Amino acid sequence: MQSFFKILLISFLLFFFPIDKEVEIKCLVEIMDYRGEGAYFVISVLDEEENYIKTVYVLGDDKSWFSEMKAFWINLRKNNLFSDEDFYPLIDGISGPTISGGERRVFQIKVPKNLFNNGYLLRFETAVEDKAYHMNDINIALSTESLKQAHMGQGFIKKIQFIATE
Amino acid sequence: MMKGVWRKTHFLLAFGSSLFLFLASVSGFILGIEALLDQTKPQAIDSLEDHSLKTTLEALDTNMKEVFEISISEKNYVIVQGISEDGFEHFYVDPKTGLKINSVTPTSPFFKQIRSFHRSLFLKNTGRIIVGIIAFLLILLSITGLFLLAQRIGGIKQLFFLTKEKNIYRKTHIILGKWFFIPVLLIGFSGAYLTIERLNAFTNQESNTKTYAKGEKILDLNTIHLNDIARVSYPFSKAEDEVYNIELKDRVFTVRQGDFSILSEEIYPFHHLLKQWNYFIHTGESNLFVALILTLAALALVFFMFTGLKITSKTSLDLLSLNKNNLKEASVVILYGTETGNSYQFAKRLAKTLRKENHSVGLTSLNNYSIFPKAKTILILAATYGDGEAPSNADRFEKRFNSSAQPHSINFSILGFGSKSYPKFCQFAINLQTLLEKQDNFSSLMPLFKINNQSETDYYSWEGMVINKLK
Repeated sequence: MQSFFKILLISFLLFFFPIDKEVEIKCLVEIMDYRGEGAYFVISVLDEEENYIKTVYVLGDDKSWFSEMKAFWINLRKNNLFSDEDFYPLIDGISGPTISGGERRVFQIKVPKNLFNNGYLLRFETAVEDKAYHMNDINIALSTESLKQAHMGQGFIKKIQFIATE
Repeated sequence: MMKGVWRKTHFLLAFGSSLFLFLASVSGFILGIEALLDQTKPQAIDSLEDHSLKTTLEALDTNMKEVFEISISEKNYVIVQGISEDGFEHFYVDPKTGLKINSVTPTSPFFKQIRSFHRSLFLKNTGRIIVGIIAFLLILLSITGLFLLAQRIGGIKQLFFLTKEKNIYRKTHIILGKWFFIPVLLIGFSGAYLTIERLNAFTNQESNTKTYAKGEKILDLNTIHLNDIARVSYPFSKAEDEVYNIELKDRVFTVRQGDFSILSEEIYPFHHLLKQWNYFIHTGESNLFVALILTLAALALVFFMFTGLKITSKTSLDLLSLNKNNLKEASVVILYGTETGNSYQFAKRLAKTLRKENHSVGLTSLNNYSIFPKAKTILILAATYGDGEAPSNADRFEKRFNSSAQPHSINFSILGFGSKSYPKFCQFAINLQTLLEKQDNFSSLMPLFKINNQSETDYYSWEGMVINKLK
């Protein structure tokens, strides 16, 4: 019940606060050259203390693999968001297929404007079946300055570039 | 002799691979159904070769705010990622109009599981290797099966005529073999190849890359059609060093924005093409007809196994009990002399019965008579050929009998087969009885027993007496 109210509250907030004020961020991700299954991604906005604020994009459509993104998964459990009815409809709207080794992919993410240039962080968690999990493959400031630069990943991400449109 | 080898190999292969082959066939059949269903979806474009890259790019430009990537799947789906009126989207597109057909939805978890099972039995690399070996065995099975069939019906040419076989299981097995030899062989070959490829066997082959100066060579987008293409990635930004990546089936171009001049051309190593070809042969994903043949072939494999099992139970299972038939260890040796095979059938039946009674039994023809180190009892089932002569696999018995002295004293019993309509009824068996009685360490368990016209009742009464004597 508690989680139900939480969702109601969030939807309420999203509805009445100006949601059209979003920053569109175009991302180019290049993946390291490895052999094996495609990489799973979760892209989230965190606050300064690294608490999860919002999940903005997921790559990988096999739900049973989400638990491999451990930090993200713990957050879901903590907030009672991991049961199907609550969580998966949220994910379904914002997911795409996995990226395999050596590939590149362009996609767009949207971040509420109030989270932009406000001390929040953008985290890319990645995992590959039987290979590894990287909690902070990319963990950068969610700001105009930071997104102007290209960033090197710590794990499966080789390089990432952004174009942000406010 | 050769016939025996093919049959034996064919049977042992089938037996060895049966469980996994069954699982692979059933899952393959389900995946075949999936491939057929996928080809009936509206996003399956059946004439990719009719659409040039140029028209598709232009169609998308008019309908989309921005395109990030176009990819063409093995199922002939054209997939676009980019920003439309509705925001960032990932959808199947009609390459002619540039309009959305459907959103991309994940493969159903059911088919995904089946696919994973078919590839690796949920056992990761171990499973992949098992499946690969099964695919390889399937090649051998089809080839031994073909030879066996050709021999049975008297030559390869006979394959094109009607089957004369009466037994329904044999007939089905043969007809399926004729129809599905080639598809099954290809399934085995491509399956084995894909496994080897997946296990990184070809990583040492390099691509061949050529580079060009700006404006030296322009890529004509009219000459590239969608059936050649795997993926087109658009430049990330307007920056000069951001380029189009145009991946074809056999090569990838990087192309400058604006004038479409080629900057580099990388030609994939040959195994890349071979993989695509094998993937197509194995899945038939892009072709309804191939998918249908493959689906039927997977179903046929299940029927092969079923009919094969039915045929097997009679003759070939004896192969597995070969190890039981150890003449050196046997305490009871059954010898048969047969012209038409009848005595052999009875001898087999006798061996089976005695094994059930926990005797260690050896079975061989009279001509294979030799020293049997542990034999205490010898039972002979002998037919008579023509005018009281030995049948063909017994004609050297007398000679061998005289030259092989048994280490133990032997109890024996002889069962003669014959027909009273011939004057010399069971004459060969009578001769054997005389021959054996003359030998010092041989004693007869009971008088010679004669059977007229293969009477089953008479046989069982003899068998019953033998069992009693051996207790």
